[in-house]
Amino acid sequence: MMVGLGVSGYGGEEGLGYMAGMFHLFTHAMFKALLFLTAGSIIHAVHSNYMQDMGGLRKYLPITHITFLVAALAISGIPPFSGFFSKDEILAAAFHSNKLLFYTEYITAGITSFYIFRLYFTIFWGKETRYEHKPHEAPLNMTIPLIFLALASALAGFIPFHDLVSSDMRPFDTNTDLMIALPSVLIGLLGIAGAWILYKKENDIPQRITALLGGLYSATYHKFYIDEIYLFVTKKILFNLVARPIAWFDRHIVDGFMMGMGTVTVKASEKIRKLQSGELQQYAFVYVAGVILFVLTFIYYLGE
Amino acid sequence: MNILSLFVLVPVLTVVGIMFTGGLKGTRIVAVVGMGIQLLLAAWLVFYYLAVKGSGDLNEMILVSDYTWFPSLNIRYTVGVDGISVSLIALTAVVIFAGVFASWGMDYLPREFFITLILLATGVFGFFISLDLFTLFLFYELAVIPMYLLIGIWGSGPKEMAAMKLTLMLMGGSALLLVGLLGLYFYSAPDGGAFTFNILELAKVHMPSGAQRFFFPLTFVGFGVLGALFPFHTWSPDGHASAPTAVSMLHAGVLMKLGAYGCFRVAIFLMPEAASEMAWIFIILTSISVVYGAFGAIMQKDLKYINAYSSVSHVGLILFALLMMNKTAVNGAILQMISHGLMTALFFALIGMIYGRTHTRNIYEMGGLMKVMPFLGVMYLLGGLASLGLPGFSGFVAEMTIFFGAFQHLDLFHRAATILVVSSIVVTAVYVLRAVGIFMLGQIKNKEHLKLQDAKWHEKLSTITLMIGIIGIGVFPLWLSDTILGSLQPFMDRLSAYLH
Repeated sequence: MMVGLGVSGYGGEEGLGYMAGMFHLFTHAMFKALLFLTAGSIIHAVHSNYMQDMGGLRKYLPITHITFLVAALAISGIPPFSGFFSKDEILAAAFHSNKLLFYTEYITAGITSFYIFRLYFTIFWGKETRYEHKPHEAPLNMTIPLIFLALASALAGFIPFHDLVSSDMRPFDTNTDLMIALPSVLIGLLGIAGAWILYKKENDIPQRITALLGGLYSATYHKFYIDEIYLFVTKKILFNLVARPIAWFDRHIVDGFMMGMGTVTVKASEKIRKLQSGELQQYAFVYVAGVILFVLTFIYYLGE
Repeated sequence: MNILSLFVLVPVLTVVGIMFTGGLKGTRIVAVVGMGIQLLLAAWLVFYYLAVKGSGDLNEMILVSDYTWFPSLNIRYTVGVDGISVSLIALTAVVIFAGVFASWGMDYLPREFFITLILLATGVFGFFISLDLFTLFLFYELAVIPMYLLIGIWGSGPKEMAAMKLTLMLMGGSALLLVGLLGLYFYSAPDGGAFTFNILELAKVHMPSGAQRFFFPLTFVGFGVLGALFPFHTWSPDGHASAPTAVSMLHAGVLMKLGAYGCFRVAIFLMPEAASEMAWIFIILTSISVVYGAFGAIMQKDLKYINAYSSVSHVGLILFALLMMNKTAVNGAILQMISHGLMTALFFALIGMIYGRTHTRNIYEMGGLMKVMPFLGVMYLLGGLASLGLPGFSGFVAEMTIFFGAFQHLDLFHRAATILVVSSIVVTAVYVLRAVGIFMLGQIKNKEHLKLQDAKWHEKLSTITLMIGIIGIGVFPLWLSDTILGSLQPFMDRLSAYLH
């Protein structure tokens, strides 16, 4: 989704959107890589991929906790972390070229900060899970990359991208427009606040909201059934309705025809074989009959 | 003594040598030495060819020599090679070398097995060096006949039926082919004079278009049967499934290319007018081959059936590219011959090795084999990735070239056919990854399989030889593609001379 946000800026006026898109791809690389590495560190600690097996991990994984927080703030576009700067430039580009895109990006920014902080609060705060093995912080070879990427996620926003990337080799003249930046940060904070209320302490509000949303929730839960559609197309249509009939057709019709030719040849030769029986009387009969036939034919034609 | 004749002489001498040995050990050593010399000879030929071309030789064929065989009919033993046949000779030498190592443990009648196998290779080498259609046809038959014995005696499953079916269908093709070749012969002297079977002479003659229209389909289908042209491909799944490992390797790897090479060198090159007129029929048939073969492979349970159908699809692509009749596509077709030859030989070698351990080829009876035989598993996966056209492997180079060439046609028919054929890449990915997922990955299904050993040294040697070729072409495609391109000019000249 965040990459979509970055790419959507391409159309912006006079290459501003392009520059902003590249900038965002750059900062996104930092914090998204960091998020995946922290995920690895967490999975390494609790031996599970599922969030229901996690909770209260801030006490056990301090370095992972802080670096995750940095990445989460960066992806939510909170200043001064890198995501704020790049997202701001995309928004600025979108504001001048396409208002629909602009508001979509506002909403998306809110959802982003909400989901990432839901993750953060559930994993590092939330319920006090009892762990069979006490989780422990990852070794140095895993935490050093985390710290490095956290620094990059925090500071990459200060790189003057608008001087470095442009379509005509001239730097862009950009400055942060408060009218765009302020609502964007507020929306981000709103998302974080929402996540805080719902997930910081274990409570039953999420369940009640789930019940309220009904079908929309289950559609979202199943990723809008896109995987199911793919599976349906491959398994049901391609496998069962295309590949299987083709395999059958090949074995029974195409090959059946070839085998049939062989069978017909065998059958025909069985019949023809009887002509050469070795019985002298039969040969004599065929011979005499043939002679008579020829003679009659000659007489008939010569008599004309 | 012409140096090219050594390519026939060395295998024949190897066969004679094997006759004087006894037991598996002596036999295979003689076979390895013979085929090793053949491989060195092929390597020398490649370098010699590049050197000669590098020094500015403009002849269409090099190392040409000519002996009269039957003067009354002007049948000659004429040999010569260009870049295309040089690359195919190198391919054959690699595959037969790997094939000998893949049959290292052949315990049933080893002497007879290696004699027949190498006799088959003799036919293939002879075919690729021949410039005389009669000699060419003779070697072609020499390559097809031993197949009957090899499958019928050393095969598995319903081997007698498979051997019979394969031989009869290929013989049916030969019958059509013979008519086509005789047609070429009897139209070879329009102004009187001696008839000739010589390809280079025939290329100078303009065969009447009426005759071309009659003889082209006979020749193309005749060779096409061996190239698994739809609907004459059904010998392939049964034949490959029943054949012993080295025979499947050689057959899918090299013999099917004989068909494609013949379609190119004889049918299209010598009868270009009819070829371009009738191309649409065969483009439809080969497009069906490509897509249909790929879909046929999806639902198979037997590893050899998967790869047999995959060969139908890939060799169909070669014929498809030849019919596009432009330089890029034909270059791609030849690249695909080499690439598919190496890939499919690797697949059949690996399947033979896996079958030798698990005694089953049904993918549903295996699982998790990657854990017990990592070397074979990784090789199979790499072969699969090459087959689905991953960059870095030869399959990508060949397929991309073909699709580029095919897309150079601007009309709707060619475009539609090309798009259809390109879609088969996705299907290829499905059947390759499905098989790997079921029998290589996941949990070990059969407890007995835990005791299995990974590849032995001769198996590693066999598969690595082929893998070097695949990656070599994938990473350095230009030397091969330039070798081929250099030899395509006469073909293009002839096409443009007769078509415009």
